[in-house]
Amino acid sequence: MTASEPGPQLLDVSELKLTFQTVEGTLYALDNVDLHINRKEIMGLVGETGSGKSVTALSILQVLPDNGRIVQGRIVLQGEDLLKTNAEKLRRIRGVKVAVVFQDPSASLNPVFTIRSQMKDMILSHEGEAQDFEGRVSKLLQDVGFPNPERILDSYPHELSGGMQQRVALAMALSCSPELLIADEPTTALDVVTQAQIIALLKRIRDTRGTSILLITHNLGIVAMACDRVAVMYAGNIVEVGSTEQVFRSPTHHYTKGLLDALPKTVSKGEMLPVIRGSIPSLLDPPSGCRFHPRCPFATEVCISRKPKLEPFRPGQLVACYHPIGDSA
Amino acid sequence: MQSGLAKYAARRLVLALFVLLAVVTFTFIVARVVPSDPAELYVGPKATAAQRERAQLELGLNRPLYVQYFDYLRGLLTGNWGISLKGHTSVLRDILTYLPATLEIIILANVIAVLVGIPLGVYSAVKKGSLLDQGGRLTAIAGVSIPSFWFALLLQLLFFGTLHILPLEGRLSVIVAIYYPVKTITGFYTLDSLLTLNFVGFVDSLRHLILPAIALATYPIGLITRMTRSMMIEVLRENYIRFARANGIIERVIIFKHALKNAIVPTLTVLGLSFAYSITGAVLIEIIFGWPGLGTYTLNAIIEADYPAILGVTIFGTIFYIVINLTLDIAQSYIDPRVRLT
Amino acid sequence: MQLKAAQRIRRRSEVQLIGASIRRDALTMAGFAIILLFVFVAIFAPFLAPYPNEGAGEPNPPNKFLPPSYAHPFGTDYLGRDVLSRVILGSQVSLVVAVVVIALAILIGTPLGAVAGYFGGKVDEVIMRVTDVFLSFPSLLLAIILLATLGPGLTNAMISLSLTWWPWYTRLMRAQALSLRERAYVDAAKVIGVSNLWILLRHVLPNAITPVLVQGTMDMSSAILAEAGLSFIGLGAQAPSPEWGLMVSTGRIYILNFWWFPTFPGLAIFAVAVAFNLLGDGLREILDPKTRRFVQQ
Repeated sequence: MTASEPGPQLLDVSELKLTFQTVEGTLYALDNVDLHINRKEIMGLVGETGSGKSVTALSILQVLPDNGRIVQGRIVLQGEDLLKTNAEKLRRIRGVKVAVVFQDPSASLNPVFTIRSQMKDMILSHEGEAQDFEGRVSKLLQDVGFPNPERILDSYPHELSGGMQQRVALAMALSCSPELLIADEPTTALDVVTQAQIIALLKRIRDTRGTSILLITHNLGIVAMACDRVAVMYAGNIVEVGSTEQVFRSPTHHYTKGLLDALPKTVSKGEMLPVIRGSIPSLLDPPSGCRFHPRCPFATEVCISRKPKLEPFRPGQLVACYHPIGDSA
Repeated sequence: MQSGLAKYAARRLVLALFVLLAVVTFTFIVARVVPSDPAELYVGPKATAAQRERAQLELGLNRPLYVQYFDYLRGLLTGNWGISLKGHTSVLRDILTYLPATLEIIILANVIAVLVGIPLGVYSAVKKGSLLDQGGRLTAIAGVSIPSFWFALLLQLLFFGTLHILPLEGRLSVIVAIYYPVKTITGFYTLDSLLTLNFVGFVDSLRHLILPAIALATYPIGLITRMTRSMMIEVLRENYIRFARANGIIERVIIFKHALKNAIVPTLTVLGLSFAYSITGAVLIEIIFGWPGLGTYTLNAIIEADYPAILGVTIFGTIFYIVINLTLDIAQSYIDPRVRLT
Repeated sequence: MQLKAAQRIRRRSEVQLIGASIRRDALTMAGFAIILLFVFVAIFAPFLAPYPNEGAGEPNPPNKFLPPSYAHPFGTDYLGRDVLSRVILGSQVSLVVAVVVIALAILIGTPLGAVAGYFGGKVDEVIMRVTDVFLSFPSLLLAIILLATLGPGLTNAMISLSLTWWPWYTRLMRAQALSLRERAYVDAAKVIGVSNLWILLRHVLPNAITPVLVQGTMDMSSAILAEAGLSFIGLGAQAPSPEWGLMVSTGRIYILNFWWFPTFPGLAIFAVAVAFNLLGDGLREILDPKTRRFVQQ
């Protein structure tokens, strides 16, 4: 898979810490997350359910539920720290600089308004008045793969299929030409054929509009198909970052290796599928030091006592581990 | 876009007619089948034997039940709803005469309830947990818990007894009725006085209307505030709201357009209930304010054991309720297109 | 067995969680407290009322229209009876009304709804049509016509009110039964050969009990209000019953001169109705699985 060269840095998330207040206590959802996204690239954010990938996206946009609190960190977009921006400026950034599509497209679209009405609200919210509205939205819908935009514009969301809804959601998100598009599990609710279509569409968006895409998913296959670079998340931490090829070919974190090993491949008859022993830790009372240590066969004293930082290991590859794979030390 | 709307409306209309038929049948059963001596009920306790016998003939009680039933239906359709015991007048005509006075209160009360309840419910939901929200919750609870007749008395005590700024009872003060009488066009004194440019009459009728309307509005305010608040809270949690907010849509548009339109549909259902309540609540309110409407008519009918009148009011009130619900139903399907699929 | 013990522990901690949630919300707690007070007063009314005979209705003409004082905190009525005692004894009537009307409505409505939702088909159709008819009447109008036919009185009023209320529980239960019917464990039970009645009793009913509980609590408030309204127009409790609505009705004409006499009974109705609504409201927020998990910051 060849990708055009990713451009300079677009989004820089550093030391992001996020907690949730729940009935059972404080949930330590994100723990020092570092994430950098370049221009014109599709960055994958992969991890299991509960690893914190979705709340990372919500944090960037700052649309967290009421009981969530960003305790620490910086989210810098084109030189501006989003965590220090006032509400109105933030609203103007949303949709214009950063936009998002969520997992379930039928839940992203308002059921009592037509597509036309919703797209109009989107554009008017950012641009006051909509010049050549019809032409503009028609072209947007064509860009996402609708040869007949008129019919779509007049429809209500429940009259469209899941794949169509997702494409409409994408059109809405792209209507003000954002520089970063966050796609949170955009294909999970769709069938395999539609999945491939959406992935192809995302790539087209990157190529023709120069938009960067943060593609959040738990599906390694999607990552392999679509992403230029990938960040692996575990229990609220980024544990490994690198180009897709590097990370898949030579993973440096034991968790990543475990994930890749667990993919069903052709195994000989009678061989068991390798699994990562243990289970995801509770985020109410997370393990000390490296959160993966209870499940890691290579854990040592230092892994239990001190949290490893995400540091460069090889050119273009970062890992948060005291004993990364391929390390002779 | 309005596809399916006409079909849905037609379906609901047919259903409503069936329900109406069932309701009328039910009242027939209650009136003729349940009591041991229907004639006795119809002529009341003070009737003579001759009157009782005549009632037996008129009601056709010696004829088979299904004949009675069809006569009953025919009577309803042709406007013969029985003769009231007290005034020996046609029950239907009585009802229609007293109706506008009651409608005046009901309409104003529900308008007040909507104008107060919906904004209160919305702000309460948006500012959940704040002082305004607590106020909203309390209003909702107080509204549905207050005995309206008691509240009406308190209003009288406060505004008439203590402050002397509003009248005690009736629709017009005696002086105004004599010197600035309101010509009857629709039967709504406020409207009629406006139409005839009788401003003294308008102000006076409004002053008389306001307390009964407020007293009747308490329960609807409670219902509407509660429903709007809880629906808005639910809707604001929905993913499409999160999507809109995450993509930068103006907050005011999100709340008052995107969220409210979704929340309003169940609120319309509640408005129907509120009308149902208003119909029966009017009975209580009118007694207290000496308001010459259907409520007073019903109370007098109860006191006099005027069974035909009571029956007539029950059927009329139910028809009114069915019509209101049908209208709200269709309005809901207009707002939320998914309803048309049911 | 180990599973049962685990279930028991889980249920106990759930109850504890609910208890804690109730305590946390001041309003719900207030409602709960008022209801406890109400039930206590109703049960021990004859011992708590300072003038129990007057409370029951015995007139005391020399004491007519006394304003509130130390001896008579709520004043006296037009027959010289101590209003406080009347109100206290009236709580018995209100409690009986609330419990009987709602209990009857639930007893009639819930099984019908469960059967309708669970079995579906013709049975469902018939039950729903009957429910629709009852629901098409504005409730008090239905009660009025029933009472006009059967004759006034507290007992008839309670029966009439139950008859106007049961359809709501049928609808509620039916919705629950419909959704639960599709659940896997019901299919599993059927496959094993468990009888339909057993499934209804052991699986459907317990899970559907929550909304019925919430609705029932709030409906107790409405039942008290409705009965008070009926007594107000003379169709419910009859003199000399210390029923609160009746007291407001007889006191109505005296509101301007002897305000205490209709005011305090009405206040009692209000307080009890508010309490039931607060509790029901609070219960709904607590028991609703969607709102359960979060705590505001």
